Amino acid sequence: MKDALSFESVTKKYGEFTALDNVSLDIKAGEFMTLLGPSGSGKTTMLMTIGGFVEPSAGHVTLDGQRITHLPPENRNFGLVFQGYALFPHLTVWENVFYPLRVRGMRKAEAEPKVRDVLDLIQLSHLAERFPKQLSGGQQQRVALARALVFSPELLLLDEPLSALDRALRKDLQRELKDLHERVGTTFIYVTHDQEEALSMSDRIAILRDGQIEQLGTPSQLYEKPSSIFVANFLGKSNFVPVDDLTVEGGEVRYSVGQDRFRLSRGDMSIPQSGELSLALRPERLTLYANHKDAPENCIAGKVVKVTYFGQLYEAIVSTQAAGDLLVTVDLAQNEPRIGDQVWLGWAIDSGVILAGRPVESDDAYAG
Amino acid sequence: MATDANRQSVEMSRIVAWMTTCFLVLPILIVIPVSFTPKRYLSMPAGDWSLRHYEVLISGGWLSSIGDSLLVAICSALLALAMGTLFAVGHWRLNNGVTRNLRLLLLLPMIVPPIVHAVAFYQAWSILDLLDTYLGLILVHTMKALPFVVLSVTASLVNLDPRLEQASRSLGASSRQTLFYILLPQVRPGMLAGGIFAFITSWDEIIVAIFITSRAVYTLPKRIWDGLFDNVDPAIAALGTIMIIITAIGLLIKDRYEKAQKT
Ligand SMILES: Nc1ncnc2c1ncn2[C@@H]1O[C@H](COP(=O)(O)OP(=O)(O)OP(=O)(O)O)[C@@H](O)[C@H]1O
Ligand SMILES: [Mg+2]
Repeated sequence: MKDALSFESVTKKYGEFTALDNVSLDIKAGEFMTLLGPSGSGKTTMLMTIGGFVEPSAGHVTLDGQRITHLPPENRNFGLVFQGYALFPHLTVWENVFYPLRVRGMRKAEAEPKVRDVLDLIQLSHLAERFPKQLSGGQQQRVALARALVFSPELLLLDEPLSALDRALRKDLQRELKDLHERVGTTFIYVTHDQEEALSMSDRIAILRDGQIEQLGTPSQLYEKPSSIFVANFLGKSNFVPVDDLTVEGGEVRYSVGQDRFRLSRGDMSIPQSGELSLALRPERLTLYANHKDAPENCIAGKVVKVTYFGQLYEAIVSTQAAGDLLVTVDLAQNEPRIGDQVWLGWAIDSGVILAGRPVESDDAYAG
Repeated sequence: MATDANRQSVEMSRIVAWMTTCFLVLPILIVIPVSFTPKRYLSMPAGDWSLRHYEVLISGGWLSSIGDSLLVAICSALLALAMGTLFAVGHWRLNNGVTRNLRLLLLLPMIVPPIVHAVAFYQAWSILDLLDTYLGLILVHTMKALPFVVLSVTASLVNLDPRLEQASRSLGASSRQTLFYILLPQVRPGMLAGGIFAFITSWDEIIVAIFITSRAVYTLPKRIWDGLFDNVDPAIAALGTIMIIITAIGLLIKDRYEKAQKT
């Protein structure tokens, strides 16, 4: 696939503060690209740079190889859906959707079929004569989408379009958005700080941190092979076990936790070899065993200290001597863990990633 | 009982509101009966009514003064409205040091005592040869009306979501299209209020008018003022009555308009 949009070493400074720090990114045509990161990481700044509302202090934005860094927003032909929708309150739904065509010099009669089509697409034709304030949040959201799609933009930029909605509605609209993306085939650039949303919808995710891209990849790459503790922490939950005495022999890595040695098949991972190291282990990669003989080679003894029931699964905290408290998910098919149980925790030799550094107990933990 | 106390306080505030209204309105309404007196001086009609003072309004110089006042007030209100609205929108958009200082400068006519203004304009206009011209008076009234337009349009911009402008531009609208299709419709109530204030400011402005006009431009307030020296003419009461009626109609229209906007 060809690149639709590229960031070439884009930096944006507000006075002394650097909101975007030398960001480079290639977005492919037709891709669903998500920008994910904590509050203040520069997501909106990046989106507004694409939209033409923020001018980079250095670097360039290109579209199909053409530099558009200084092109005014109205000449870019990008659809933009704002957080809070920004519908025009004095215009009806129909007029809101007609607006982009109107400013392009189209007359009402000419535009009618196009407007109808998009309103049908978002299933709001019956509300065409209403004003925005007479619509529910979800309906307003869909009007904003229709308005941004009606002029067949080359890109659709969405800034946390679902964050104002309640959870159930958000799930519905996530599915609709994904559907829409497949049907219209437009490149979507989607900003969110909701990691679940990002994982379930995106082709690729760029994780932003302090104005830089921390990691870029498909949802499963990011989830299974995070490149830093920050990413592992930000996407989903993770245990971090301090490890020492790391040795790499061919395709195999050996590491110690406390007195015990463990094995890890290396795959195509790059293993940091110096400094403090941690093993990141997802709670769902850990399994509880009652007896040592059932447990796999990588295992560690502990005691269940807390159990939380979540409907579709349990989460248990197991206290271990060598690795501290570890979070484990237990699905309902297994025996219910009980507080005080002496257990063995096992994980496969291809589970876990070795990351540089040790987690700090910071506000980054479990963000999003 | 809490509800009783509540009802009492509601009653009390209603009474106070009505008393205030009477205090404000009754003295003004006095001019209505007075305008129908058959006598040649200001007095209450004692059972005998007459429209002679209304006839005087149609003849004499009154009509031409009403014309002058209307012309000056409409022109200066429109000018102030255009300039003030554009300034307020520009300030809202940029909101930097320059526009903030300019804004203070624009609001100055509200702070400077009218008499100081009048003397200053007299001096300036005599140099520019604008004394006793429509243009001269319209310019002054525009300046005096500008703060009202700027303030009321700024007030209706405060609640305006800045993203509407960004949305409009991202949808392909030029700055000018955004101004006319999105921003101005949003600030219409402020423009209406500002325009009415601007009109009234000019309509009853007298101090500067006395200084910089004499015969070629002869506005209504100035004619009334001059008339008061000769004799206290009940025609002034007739004029007052007409103006009250016009104002009441204007307020009714504005009220209707605002109600229609709300639904
Ligand atoms: N106009 C501005 N002037 C100064 N600083 C700004 C400006 N706009 C953004 N910033 C700063 O740039 C940083 C990134 O802002 P941005 O809006 O891109 O964050 P974000 O990732 O979208 O966060 P959120 O999830 O809260 O929306 C923030 O620290 C913010 O304070
Ligand atoms: Mg943001």
